[in-house]
This record gives sequence, C-alpha cells and structure tokens, in this order.
Amino acid sequence: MKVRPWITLSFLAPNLVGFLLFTLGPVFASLCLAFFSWDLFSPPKFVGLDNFREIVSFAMTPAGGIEPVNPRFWLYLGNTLFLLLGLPFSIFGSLALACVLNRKIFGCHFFRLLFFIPSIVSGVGIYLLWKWIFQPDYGLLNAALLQIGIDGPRWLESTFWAKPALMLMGFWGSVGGMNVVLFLAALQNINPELYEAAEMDGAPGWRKFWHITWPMVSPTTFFILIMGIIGGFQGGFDAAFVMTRGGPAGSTTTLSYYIYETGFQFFYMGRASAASWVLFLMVMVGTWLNWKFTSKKVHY
Amino acid sequence: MKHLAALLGALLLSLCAVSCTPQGEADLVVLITNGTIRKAAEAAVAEFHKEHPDVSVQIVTTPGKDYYVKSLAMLAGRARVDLLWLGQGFSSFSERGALLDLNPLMAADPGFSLKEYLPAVVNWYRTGSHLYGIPYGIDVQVIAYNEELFDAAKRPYPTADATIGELIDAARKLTDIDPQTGRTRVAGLGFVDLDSRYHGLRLLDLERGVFALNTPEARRWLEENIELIDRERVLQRGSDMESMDRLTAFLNQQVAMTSVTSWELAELRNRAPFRWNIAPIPYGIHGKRLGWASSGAFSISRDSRHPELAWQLLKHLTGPAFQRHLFEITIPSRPALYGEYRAASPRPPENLEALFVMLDHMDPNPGLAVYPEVVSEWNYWKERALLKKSTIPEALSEAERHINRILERHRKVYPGPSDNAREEVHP
Repeated sequence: MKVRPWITLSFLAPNLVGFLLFTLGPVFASLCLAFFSWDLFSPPKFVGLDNFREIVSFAMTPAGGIEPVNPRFWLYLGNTLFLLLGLPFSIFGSLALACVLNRKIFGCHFFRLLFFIPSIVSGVGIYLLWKWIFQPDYGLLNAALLQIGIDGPRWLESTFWAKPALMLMGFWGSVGGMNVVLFLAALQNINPELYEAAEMDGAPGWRKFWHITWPMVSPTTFFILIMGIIGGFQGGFDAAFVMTRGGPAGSTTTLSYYIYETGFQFFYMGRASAASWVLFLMVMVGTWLNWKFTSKKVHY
Repeated sequence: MKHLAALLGALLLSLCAVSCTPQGEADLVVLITNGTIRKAAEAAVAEFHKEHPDVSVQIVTTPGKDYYVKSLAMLAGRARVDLLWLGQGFSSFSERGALLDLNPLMAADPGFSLKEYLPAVVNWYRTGSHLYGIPYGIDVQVIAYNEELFDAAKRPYPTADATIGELIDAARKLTDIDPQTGRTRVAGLGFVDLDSRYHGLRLLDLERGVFALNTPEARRWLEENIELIDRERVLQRGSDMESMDRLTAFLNQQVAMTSVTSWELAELRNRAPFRWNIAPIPYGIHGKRLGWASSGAFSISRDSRHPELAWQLLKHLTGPAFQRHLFEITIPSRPALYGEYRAASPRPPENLEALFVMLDHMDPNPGLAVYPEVVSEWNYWKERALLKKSTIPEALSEAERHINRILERHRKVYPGPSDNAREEVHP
C-alpha cells in the first residue's frame, strides 16, 4: 500500500500544530529570552550571558575568598536535592504497598482504591489540610505526638523541620499513587512458576522477594526512579506556594519556586528563563548519570 | 478525494481552535478582583448604562490571590482590559507604563472634582506629576481584641493613646501557657511578628532610596521579637503569614489580640462568638504611630481603545453610590461619606473611631515596582534573625547590602519620576 506523506501529516497536524505553537515555540522563546533583560512591558534588552552569571557564577570577596553571586540559588538547589531524598522512601513504600495489595485478600480492590485517592484529590486541598495537621499549637500531628509524650516540633515554622514535613506529606501522597499502579502491573506480570520453583527449593519469603520480585520489577523501578528524579528537580512549587510561601527563611523554596518568583513576582523574565535552562541542564545530567549507573542493574 | 477534503476540514478546524479567540467584543472590559466588589461593580455598570445605553461592558473577575501578577501578565499579553481594580500593587503597573495618565481626562471633565477624595490617598496613585488611579476606598490596620479574655485576666482594654510597651505588657499578662504540657493556650498577640511599623520604624528611607532598618532601634526591635516569640511565647506565629490562620486563631480565642484590616471586620462580625472590639495601632518609639494602610482604586489601561468612555465608567466605579455599596469592607475615600459610613456600619466593633484615628497615621507600602522583591529579601533575612540562623547585626547588614543593591538596580531600570516624588502625608 502506498503511503502518502501529506495524509500522514494531516493526521498528525492537529497535535503537531499545538505542540509547535504551545510547547516547542515557548521553549525556543525561553532560550532566546535567557539572553535578554525583559519585564514584560519594556522592550527586551540583550544582556548576553549576564542572566546566567547572575544565577550560577562566583565572585571574589573583598577578603580574597570566593562567594556565589547569587547564594540563594545554591540554597534553593540544596533544598531541591534534599527533597529528592524522599524519593527512595516513596519508591520502596510504593513497592511494599503494591506487594501487600497484590495478595488475594478480602477487600483488596477497596484498599487499592483507598490508597489511590490522594492522587485524584485536588493538590491545593491536600496542602491546606496538611497545613492544619502541621499547625504546631493545635494541629493533629502534634496533638497525637503529645499523647505519647513527645513535644512535637514547630513543623512549618522551623528551618530544620519544614523540609521533612513536606517530605512526609509527599510520601503520604505518592506512596499509594500512580507508582503503586505501575508496581501492581509489574508484579502481576511476574510468572508464578518462578515463585513455585523457589518454594519447591524451600526459599523463604525475603529470598523470593530479593531474587525474583526485585529483579523482575526492576524495569518498573528504574522507570519510576527516572521519572521521580525528573519530577523531583521540577517539583516542590505547589506545596511550598500553598503551605509556606517558600519559607521560613527560604528553607522550602525549590528551584521551580525560584523560577516562578523570579519570573512572575519580580518580572525578571530573562533571568527566570536562564534559571529554567540551568534547571533543564541539571535534569539532563542527572538523568544521564542515573541512566549510566543504574540501567545496568535493571533486569530486562 | 472525499476523505482528503474531510481531513483538510478537520485540520482547518483544529487550526481555528488554537487561533480564534472565543471572547465576545465588549466595548469596555473591567478587570476586578473577586468578592463583594463584583455586585458593586455591576450596580455601577447599570448606572453607566443609563447614560450610555449603547456601550457594552464586560466585567472580568480575577481571583484575589496573586491578582496583581495575573492582571499584569494579562496587560503584558495585550489582553483587552480598559479599566482595572488596583490597590497597594499599583506601582508595579504605573512604573512599567501599563496605565493611562488620568490628568488629561480629568482636565477635560469640569464636572469631576478630585478635591472630594481624601488627598493623602489620592497621592498614593501619583507618580511624579501623573495621576494613574482614583481611589474609592481606604483600608487601615487596627488592633482587634477579645474583650472576654481581657475581662477574665482583669486587664483594661487597649486605649487610643496606648503605647507599644503597654500593648506588649498587656499581651504578656494575657498569655496563658499550660504548665503541664507547655503548650500555649492563649497567646497575647496573634501577629506573625511584631511589625516594625508598630515601633515607628520603616523598612525603607524613600528620600535616600535605601534600606532603613540597620539601626540600633531596629536591632532592639528584633531582639524584642525573639524574646516574645521564643522565651515568653507571647507572639503566636501561626503556621505562616496567611491571614486565614491568624484570624482563625483569634476566632478560636487562641490569641487575645491581633491586627486586622478594615475589610476583615465583616468576617469578625459574622464569625466571632465572643465580645470583641478594636483599638488604633499603639504609639511606637519617639511617639510615632504608624499603621499599614492600603486602598482600592480604579485605573485605565494604557491600551484602552475607548479611554473617554472608560473615564465615564471610572467615575461610577469610584463615585458615592459605589462607595456606599462597599461600606461593609472599606472606608470611603470621600470624607463627605464618613457620617453615612459611621451610621451604616453595624456593631461590633463599638469603637469604630479607631479606624478614623488610623486615617491620620497611614503608612502604605512604598510605591516601587521592585517592592515585592525588596520584601522577599527582607523577609528572608528577618526570618533568619528570628530563627537565630544569623545574628541580628549580620541579618540587618546583609539585608541592607542586598536590598540596596535591588534599589540601585531599580533606579537604573526606572530612572523616571520615582516614588520619591510623591507627597508623603504624615501627621
């Protein structure tokens, strides 16, 4: 059968036009903008690499030392990386939950639905709810801790506890979400004969998990890890925006929040675009390193 | 061939979907924030229609949270906006040239008199010799207090001539900490922190265009804040700076006093299950009384296609009838309406005069396009000092260094008539 390219193109066109106009176009525009100073109203002014220098460069101090030109960027990068530490807990939590939900137990469908609910509830609603849970004087969490004799911290008001609080909330939201669905699908694809053979050999439960389940779900784990790292670098904005406004003292400001603040609060569109491209490079390098060092451990 | 025609048709439709704007063509588009103002704006438009029956008006409501960011982005994107509501974020628009100077329109309209509006508030909307907005209402900050908690602690209520020291003393007496759990049952003050204004201190010296808080007084003010937060636990910080938490704690009787703005009185009236009242912000050091203030106004977009018609509608949107509609949430900007406002305002609060006392001590946010950035920087260093992540002198000098840098850059970008040219009105 003869394939006419214009027919193929016309089928693709509705999506392609949208992609070019609303995705590729703005991406290219942001790359150009990164070399300009622009506040949305005045004409853009070419500034070369100034925006990048303002974000990631270092300068000599009067004492002869070196300090970052924008120390807050590095603080926010640190916050972003710190919040990424929640990813392994989330992945292992999801896998453990999927293993439990994969069993033929009474009400397993109901529990699958129950654990998935946080993924379909409005994020802002969840953040407001957790804001009250973390309220130090009359919030639920500290009230519960007090029952067991623990004087809970001032969660979102403390530079030390604010990030763990957000990670705890993130864990609650993500452990039963899409990751469980992916892991459940992966678990149900494992050939039961493998387990039967292991049982005949007298392998205990943890050995079956370690030698059968873990390798067999490794492609899924790898996929979730890659997506989690990409999402983690880009994430943290919505929770910080609703719950802490990036505080206290910038301790919950992530790179995505910084980009939003720079672009849409202070209207430095060029600098925000430059920061977006710096973030993109970080995500790319992070993903590449992850691919290079982890993909060999995946059982295909 | 038929299939090909169908495909091309689908393609054209898909292109049309992304390129056509579905908006109807109104003659005037008014951008407002959400809430009570919508009904008042509709009534003003109805009045306008009596004079201009052929002019169609569309009112677009933008949610209040980050209203300025959204509307500034709309104007930058050349969205059709003729009139827009503005308040304390006004300078972000005027300095960027997004607004139309109202002076020529006003000069061509002999029936309009700016003298009917409170001059101090009108001046907030001036940049150099230009006037970019007409205010319809004024919002001032006062102290709201729970009379029942004061009675229980046998403390006298705050008075109009109280000083900040007396307010803090009263707050100490009202603070109630559970001796067993160590939890605060009632905090004397429900502020995020004790505003520097309450000590009579300003963040910026607008005449010199520099940070103004790297002083011994500001050091003492921060030390006192730390004392009140950490040691005495008189300040209930809430979980962040959102007013929702602050008012909720007051409504739950978990704080004895809190700062409220005039627009929050209606909510307290509707929800407070106890006796409460208001008092003016106390006198700070050197006998200076300063309270944050803001106002609501309407401006005309620089890109308005019908500026004369927009001016006619603006007069309705800031006129007496519009101001009467909004008595519940804002003080009218026309002093001639104060009597009506007093008579129409339900009680509590009994001491409505506290609002009028504060009209003489208003300290609005400085009109600088970079003010959000300045505040963000200041909050960062202030938080570091309050959380003892930096020493107070270090936090103040770092704040000074960074904020002065922001202001310096601002002067380079906006070298035109700056906020310094505005008349500052203080008693």
